[in-house]
This record gives sequence, C-alpha cells and structure tokens, in this order.
Amino acid sequence: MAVDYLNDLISIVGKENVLTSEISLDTYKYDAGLIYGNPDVVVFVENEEQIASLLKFANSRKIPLVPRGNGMGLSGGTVAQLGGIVMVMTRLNKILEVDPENRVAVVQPGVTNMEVQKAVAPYGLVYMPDPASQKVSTMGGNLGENAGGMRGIKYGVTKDHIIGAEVILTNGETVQIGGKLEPIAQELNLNLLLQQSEGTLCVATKIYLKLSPAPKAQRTMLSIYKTLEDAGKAVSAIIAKGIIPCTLELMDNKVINAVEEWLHIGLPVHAGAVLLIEVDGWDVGLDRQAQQIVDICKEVGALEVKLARNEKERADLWVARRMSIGAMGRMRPNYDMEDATVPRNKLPEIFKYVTSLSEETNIPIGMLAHAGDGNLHPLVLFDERDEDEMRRVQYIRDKLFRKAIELGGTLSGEHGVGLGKLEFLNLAISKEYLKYMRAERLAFDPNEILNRGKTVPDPAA
Amino acid sequence: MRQETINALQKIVGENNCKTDEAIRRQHGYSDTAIPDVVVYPQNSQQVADIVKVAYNEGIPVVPWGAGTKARIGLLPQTGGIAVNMTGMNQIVEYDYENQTAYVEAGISYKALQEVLITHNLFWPVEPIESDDCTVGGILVSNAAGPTKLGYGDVKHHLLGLEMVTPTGDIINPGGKTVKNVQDYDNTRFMVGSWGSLGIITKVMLKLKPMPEKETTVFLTFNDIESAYAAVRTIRNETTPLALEMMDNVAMSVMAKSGFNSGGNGVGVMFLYSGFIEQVDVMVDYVQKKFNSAVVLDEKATATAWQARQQMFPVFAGQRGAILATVAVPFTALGRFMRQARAELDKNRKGAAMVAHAGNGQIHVLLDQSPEAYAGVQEIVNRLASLASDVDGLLVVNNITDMTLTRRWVEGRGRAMIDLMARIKSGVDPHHIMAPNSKVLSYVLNGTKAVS
Ligand SMILES: Cc1cc2nc3c(=O)[nH]c(=O)nc-3n(C[C@H](O)[C@H](O)[C@H](O)COP(=O)(O)OP(=O)(O)OC[C@H]3O[C@@H](n4cnc5c(N)ncnc54)[C@H](O)[C@@H]3O)c2cc1C
Repeated sequence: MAVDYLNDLISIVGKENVLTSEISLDTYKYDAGLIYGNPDVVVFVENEEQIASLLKFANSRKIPLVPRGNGMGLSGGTVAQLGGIVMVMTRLNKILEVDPENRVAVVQPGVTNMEVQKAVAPYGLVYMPDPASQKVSTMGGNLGENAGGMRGIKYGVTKDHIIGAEVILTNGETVQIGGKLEPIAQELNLNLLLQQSEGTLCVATKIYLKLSPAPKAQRTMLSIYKTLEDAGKAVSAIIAKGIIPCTLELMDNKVINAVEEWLHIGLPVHAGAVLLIEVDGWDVGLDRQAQQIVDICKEVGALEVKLARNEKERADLWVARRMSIGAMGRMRPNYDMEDATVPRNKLPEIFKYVTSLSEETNIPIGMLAHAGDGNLHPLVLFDERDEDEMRRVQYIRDKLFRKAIELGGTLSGEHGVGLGKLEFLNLAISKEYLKYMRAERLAFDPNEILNRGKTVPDPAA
Repeated sequence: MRQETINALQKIVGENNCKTDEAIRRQHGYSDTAIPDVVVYPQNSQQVADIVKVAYNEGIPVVPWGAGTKARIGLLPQTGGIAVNMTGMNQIVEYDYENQTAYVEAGISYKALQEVLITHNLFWPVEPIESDDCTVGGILVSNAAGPTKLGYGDVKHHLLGLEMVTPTGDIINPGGKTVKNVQDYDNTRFMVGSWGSLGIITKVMLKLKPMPEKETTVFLTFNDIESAYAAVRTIRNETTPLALEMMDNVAMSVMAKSGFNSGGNGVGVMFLYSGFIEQVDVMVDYVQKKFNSAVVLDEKATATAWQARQQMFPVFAGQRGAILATVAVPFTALGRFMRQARAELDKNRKGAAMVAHAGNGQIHVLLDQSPEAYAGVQEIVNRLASLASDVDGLLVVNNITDMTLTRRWVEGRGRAMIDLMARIKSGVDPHHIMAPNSKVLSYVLNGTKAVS
C-alpha cells in the first residue's frame, strides 16, 4: 500500500531509518512462526524522543504500529497483519546500569537476554529467565511475551524478574512504572499489568531487571523412560516428593533421534522419552537431593538414570536440550512449535493424546516440554506447500488446544496469543473477561494503534 | 439508601445475611460516623455479582470486606454504601496437592487454609503480619507480606488465577491453574495491592510449596545501627536467608514486652534459613564463624521471637494507637537511612521504633502518636521522607487519610500518570462504585463522594 505519510516519518527519524523497499517489507513481514503480513513501512528508532514522536504521530492518524524486538516471537506478535508501521527497537541496545549489590540492572529494550547474562555474570549474578532464544530475543520482547526458560519451575519466568519499566504511551507521554524499590506506595501496580501484554499497552524504553545470586553448584541427570507417558508420570511424582528441581525438561524419542543424528552426543536413541533434570543451590546436600531424584525416577519406572559425572557430560546434556528445536527443524521443510499447558499430572494424558493425533493424521510430531511447568511444545513437522498437510496441521492444532483447555490447561504457556491463538481465544476467555481486558487496553491506547487486532481483539471487528 | 435497594439486597443474600443494625455497620466502618448503610454477607459468587449489579445500576459504592484487619491502611473513611463481607465464602473448592494448587473462596481465613494444606505437607508461602483471621482475598488485595518475602517473594508470586466480580457485575476468570500461562493480561497479579478498587475477588487459585526440611533462626545483637547493618550486608550477600530483619533498640524493647529477650541490649538482627538440611546447616555454620556472638534460637525461642516480631505494631500501638510509616530504599542505603532517621527521631520522638525487612530495603517506622493526631508528627515525618528521598527512596504513611506524600510520588512518575490511572479505573468501573474510598485511586478520582 502506498503511504502518504513517509515525509512525516522521515522528519522524525531521518531518511536512512525509513524503509519501504519490497525486500525490506518482505524481511519484516514475519516473526519466528508461520503468520505473514506486510507492513507498509519499517522504521528504525534510536531514542526515546523518536519513539514518542512516532507514537504521537501514528496516534493522531490512527495508523497501526507494531513495536518489534528481534522478531523471535512465535505467535505473530510482530506481524503487521493490517499494514502500517513496524517500529524496530533493536538499536536501543545499551545496558544502562548494573547495580550488583542492589541486584538490579537497567537496560534498554533492544538488549538481548544473553547480553544481560554476560553483563551480570562477572558479579556472580544471573538474570534468571533464560528462554531458548536468549541469544537473539530482546528484553523488550521477553517482557512483551513473558518469556519462560529452562529453570522456570524453581525460579519463575520473566514477570517474576522484571520490577519496572519506563514506558511511552501512545499520546507520546513517558511514565515510570514500578522501579528499583519495594512497591510500598498506595498505587495500582501497573508493572504487573505490563508483563505479557504483548506490546498492546505501551512501549517499554527502559526495563528494570531483578538479578539473583548465581547458584553455587548443580547436579544434572538424564532419566530414561520406555515410553513418553512413563516420563510424563514421573514428572508429578518427583515434584510430589517436595524436591523442586531448577530444571525438568522432557524430550521424546523423535527429538532424541533428531539431536543424536545431528550432534552424536550419545543419547539413548531407543528411549521413548528422557527427562533432563537439574538441582542447584549450595554444593553441600546436592548429592543427596540428586540421589533422591534418582530413586524416585527408578521407583516410577525409569529404565536408567544417568548422573552427569563432569562438566563435559553436563554440557552435552544441555547442548542436546538447547539444540533440539534446531535439530527437529532439519527433518522437514517446516515445523510449528506449539505451546500449551496442562496441570502437571495431566501430562501423561495429553502426551498420549498428541501421539494419537500424530498417528491419525500421519504427521510427525516431536515432543518437547518444560515438563515441570506442565508446558508442552509439540513440534509438528510438515511442508507448507502441501495444502493437504496444512489442513491436517490445522486439525492437530485445533484438537490440541481444545484438549489442553479440557484438561484444565491454557492456550499458551509462553508464546502468547498474538495473532496465532486468536481463533481459539473464546475457548479460554469469556466475552465478559475480554470486555474487561479491552477496557484496560483502551485506557492505555484509546485508538488501538499498538498491535491492533491482536491479543485482546475487538469482538465487533 | 432507599428501602427498595435494601429489599433487593435482601432478596439476593437472604434476610439473615443483609444487616442494617448499627453495631454491625460500625464493625465495617472507618470511624464513628463513617459507616456503610448496609452490610451483606454473600454465600457464593453469583450473589456477589448480583449485589454489584444492584450497586452498578444505582450508582452506590460497594466496598469488599475481609476480616477488616487492614481497613485503616487501605481505605479512606466513607459514609454510606454497601459493605460486602466476604467471610461467608470460606470454602476450599479444590485442594489438588498433586499439582500443588488450592482453589479457595476468598473469604477463607489464613489460619483455616494453612491447617488444611499442611495435611499434605504443603503450605501457602505468604506470611501476613496481621492476625490469623485475615482472609486470603484481603491478603491479596492488600499485598500483605511478612519477613519471608525476601526469599519467597510476595503474594503475587503465589497466585495462579482468580475468579472475580467486575465493577459491572460480571464474573470473570483471570489466570488459571497452571504455573505458566500467557493467554490473558496478568490480571491475577494486577489485583494484588488493588484494595478492591478494580473488582471483588471471589475465588483464588493458590500456588503452594512443599514444607522445607529444616528451618533455623539466628539472632545477633549490636551496639549500633551501623554495625548491625554491616552484618546484614554480610548475611544477605554471602548466604541466602529466607528472612532478614533488623530491629532498632526501641523495637527490641517492644519485642521484649512480647516476651522475647535477646539477652543483649541494642540493635537486633534476626534471620532465618530454610530448605534442605545440609544447606541450612552450612549457612548457619558460616554465620557462626563470622559472628561469634550469633545465637541459634531453639524451637521455643524461635516461636517467641517471630511471634514478637509479628506483634510489633499492635503491641507498640497499644491503647493509644500509633502511626505507621513505610520506607523503601535501595538495600545499599538502608544503613545510612536508618542511622540518620534514628538520629532525627532521637531529637524529638525518642519513643518511635524502626523495624526493617532489611534484605528488601524496607523499613517500618512506628510513631507513638494516634493516627487522628497526625499533625503532631507531620514535621518529623516530612524530615524522614526527605532523608529517604536523599537516597532515592520513598516514605509513605500507611494509616492516615492524608495522601499528600503518595500523590507526590505518583505524580513524579510522569505527568500522564494520574490521567492513565483514572482512565483504567473509569474503563473497568464506569460508575466508580467499586471501593471508591480505596486509597490507591482516591487521589486520582474526582466526584466519587459516597452516596447515602
Ligand atoms: C527457536 C526459538 C526458541 C524459543 N524459545 C523460547 C523459550 O524457551 N521460552 C519462551 O518464552 N519463548 C521462546 N521463544 C519465543 C520468543 O523467543 C520469545 O517470545 C521472545 O521473548 C521474543 O523476543 P523478541 O525480541 O524476538 O521479541 P519480538 O518477537 O520482536 O516481540 C514480541 C512481542 O513483544 C512486543 N515488544 C517488543 N519490544 C517491545 C517493547 N520495547 N515494548 C513493548 N512491547 C514490545 C512486540 O510487539 C511483540 O508483541 C523461542 C522462539 C524461537 C524461535
């Protein structure tokens, strides 16, 4: 679509930061998922003044605007399905402050999660959330989606570790939300509403992160099961014993084989599934905790439990987990990483169900799960060009989300609603609740310029 | 209030659960004159929704009420309207110990809840400083937390979902049952600290924790704030305490009144380790080596000490009443602030006590003056507030009606802030009926005077 406001944008950010070539628009038409939509124009912003002016301008003309980190989202959160402006935030990439003793870092939104980790590690600190995409995904995007990670079960997710933000509203005004201090003032805690709001309320330009002392030691193990369901059963058994590991990740046979074929780590290729389990804390006592877990795993049907004996073995196990999405991606032209949650003790049931869906549709599905959180990521493999396959993939998605809700779960544990889950939203969110959330959204962004049509859509539209 | 309205409420909750006698209204009031017109005791969520609908249609203020332990702290005096006493909704709907969740009605008392949870070796890791009667809903909306929030986090970290009645009378379900969930805005947590202003919480999905294997409390006494703070730094930075409290000498004498004697005079540092046996032991050893005066409290002393800590405010306040101010400062400025504040207090408020959730950089200042006589301490409060802001901190006074300091703080967040808050309130509560006397929004709203 031809844009009649290019000069306005140029006057805000300069000519070199306004992109309209076909190739640029194509580059910014998707995120890491499968939903596409061309923006009319891509704008790179460099500072708060530009963002404020741009928002004010878009607001005055009611032009839809999509704030974009690194586009690693998986629910279409950065897709400009209605055209308009994509605002790229990655040049706001400074770590503004690391305050080690107060355990706070202040960063710009375009900083990646990994850059934060590197900046705080020398102080013996960590920023706990560590999404698999951490090398690329930005803190703005992590906040927008409430990204999870591999140690959520013990340490929580993004929203447990972001304590404030400076944000710009669509009227161009800057406000400070939350901050370094304990929230003692008699005021609504808007920081809590900002988390996981998927860029539909305001644009974060500074983010306050809570840092934690790095755990002193770990014990890592791989628990091997004959079937996927057996592994699922072990998950709640472990937690029920009162030991909360920091990591409890699951990979099924397809994932194991994909990784093994690629990286030759020595994973048990005949296993139905494995659990990657880690406990951490002070060194003393970890051996006993690890042994307790080994015993429980065996009690509830593990074929074998291997404890990593050295740093190399531990690193190998982690490589296997961190590379598993990529490994699965090599198997077919496309993959869709689904995201749903169920109460932990329903994992065996939903695993069984997904297996049956795969058999029924003849579509391969690998299973990855942040099992301790009841968060499953079935990896559905297909070829986008094959219409019939696409229909079957859609069938799988539809069945999967219905089942998750039926079991007391949710449509998404960490990838968000965006555009990708809109068609299922009514399964999970009543129209009364949607009305409430829309009131909140419109209080921030009355013209709905930010990520219009996503997350909390206008039912009338 | 019109008789027809009262009749309508009676019809919803039944005559027995709709009270207009003065004694009961007084129990739900804020002063001798500021009392509601009627108190209703709904027995289920639908009744709550129906009550709110009546209020919505007629533009009558509705104030949800738990055990009332914190009303003074969160609400301003209001005359008239409906008080919705939630204590009739006190059931555990589901205790799913396998998933470590409990779905409970908001009016259940803290004590009743924990008694059931412990039967499967689980607990809700929130530790309100108020009495055992306080309700789960009240804890949630008042963001009540105690010393263990250093290690466990506060209320928001222990919630998964809600059922609530919106200010337009709809029943909605934010969040859910699973520990990860991003299908909605996080209204579950947003209600924390909302003091009833955004809706009435009717049910809560709680995230539970297994009981720790071992807990050990250690006590240290120092001559002055400076050396106590130095110890606090060592403890927080080199070990991982679940709670880390610091009491100045006046606060210590208050604890002595409750039966806890530390054996020394001066500034107390009390901290708690919790978790697996070996890890607790290694940390206790560590601090014992660092501080040879460290006293590991035995079971009885531990109970007395924490009880005395919990009772600090009521014991201090006694019959006279007391003003409670809360200060938040960066952890690194805690020592400096407390030292300067104590020097200031020693000049003309020797009787004031300070007690800190030291690990969190949060200090309570207890002033020996009744809340009605705030003017008498206003000057010293302002001086302490400026000491706090000198170190990028904040002071608010909790149990008075003057909102000046809070308003100034919120305005400092940006000139658009007050307007943004007002739009949120008006968006979800178009008739401004929901706890319009709630402090969190009182300074934002105009024209929300109670109707009687
Ligand atoms: C291989 C792979 C692995 C992944 N692993 C995980 C995982 O383990 N856990 C997990 O949770 N997710 C994971 N993801 C999903 C994704 O990485 C996360 O959602 C991540 O947080 C996105 O960051 P981003 O910078 O790419 O954000 P984007 O995709 O650019 O943006 C995400 C959303 O945030 C909004 N947004 C961005 N910046 C701002 C801002 N400054 N202010 C307001 N809103 C803003 C956007 O509008 C959009 O709605 C994975 C994705 C891939 C492709």
